[in-house]
Amino acid sequence: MGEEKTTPETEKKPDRPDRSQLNAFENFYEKFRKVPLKYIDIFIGVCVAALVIVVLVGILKSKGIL
Amino acid sequence: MEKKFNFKKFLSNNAIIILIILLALFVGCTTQNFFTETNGKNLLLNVAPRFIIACGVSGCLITKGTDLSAGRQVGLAACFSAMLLQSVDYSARMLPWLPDIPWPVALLIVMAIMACFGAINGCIIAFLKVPPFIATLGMQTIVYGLCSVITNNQPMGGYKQSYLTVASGTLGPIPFLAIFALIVGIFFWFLYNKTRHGKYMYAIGGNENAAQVAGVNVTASLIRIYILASCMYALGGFLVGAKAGGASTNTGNGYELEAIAACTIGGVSTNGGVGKVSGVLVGVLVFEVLKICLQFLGVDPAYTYIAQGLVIVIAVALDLRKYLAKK
Repeated sequence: MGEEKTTPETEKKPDRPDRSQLNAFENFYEKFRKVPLKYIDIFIGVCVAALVIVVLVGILKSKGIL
Repeated sequence: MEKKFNFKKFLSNNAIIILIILLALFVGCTTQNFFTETNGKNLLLNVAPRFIIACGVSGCLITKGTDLSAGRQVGLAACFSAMLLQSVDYSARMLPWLPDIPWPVALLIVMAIMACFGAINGCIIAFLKVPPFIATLGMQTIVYGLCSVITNNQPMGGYKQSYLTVASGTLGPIPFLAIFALIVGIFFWFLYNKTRHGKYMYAIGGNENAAQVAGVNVTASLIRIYILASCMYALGGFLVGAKAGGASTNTGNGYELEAIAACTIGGVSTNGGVGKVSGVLVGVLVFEVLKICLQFLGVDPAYTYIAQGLVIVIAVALDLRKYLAKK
């Protein structure tokens, strides 16, 4: 008596937001939800390294060394 | 309680800015004439119109939207300005019947015309609930087509002197372009921080449904934001045209991506609800400093595009990192 009736919907707390409420970027970002931050850091590090390499190659190419 | 300085968080929030400052210091130390007044003025002239355009885009981004038609609208505004401000005695004048009109009147006319495009964008997004990405992508192509039809794909020049002075003139040591950017910056700072419109904008970006329930007129706010953005593209296009001394259908091509990238670098989240005018300025500065650094280093232009693309990827990855760290 006095117990609240629960439905499966109310029992489960949604762990993901309603996708229809998300914009294109959020939808895209949500796909990475389970990816550990460590991998994102590694990706950023690789991009920074690539940027440095591109700049160096660009300089060497314009000077005719490569 | 004293807040502890979190170095990792600071690095994550400002990684690109730190990277570009280091690059600028390296270029300044290894090349001549980098830290000169002329180069600084050149940087200022390049930053001014881009900052104005980025301010327009920032409103769309803060409300979880985007505006892919920004660049083409800048081009159309530059072409309209060209048509209105060609010298009366110029032989290849597009509108020979048009009387001589002062540049402020022409600017107002161009802004009014471009505001209509912004209103259409805003109505499609707010009333029809079309995703901003799709709505503005469609507008981008429509505006480009219109620009081609209006100009017959002919480049335009022969501007009257008063229009050219808008870009080349100075007030003391400060170029007019920088003064335009400063006024726009102050206006946007006031709008974002001190007005109801600014608060509504952040509320919509944070949670559109909650804002609606709280009594925010989301539809009207979104339409206002897109109209204001288009007015900024008009001003940006007007200044870009004056600076270049000519306009064509290709004017402003790719400016939308530069503006979105600059906003992302400056901390305007593509997920909405976050962004400051000072951040937009920093983002635009970072992007322009990167370009100038690569020019000074003599980097092949093809590699410059690759480097710019990588900076955009890094900016989005950092934004993604912030989003995931918050969850």
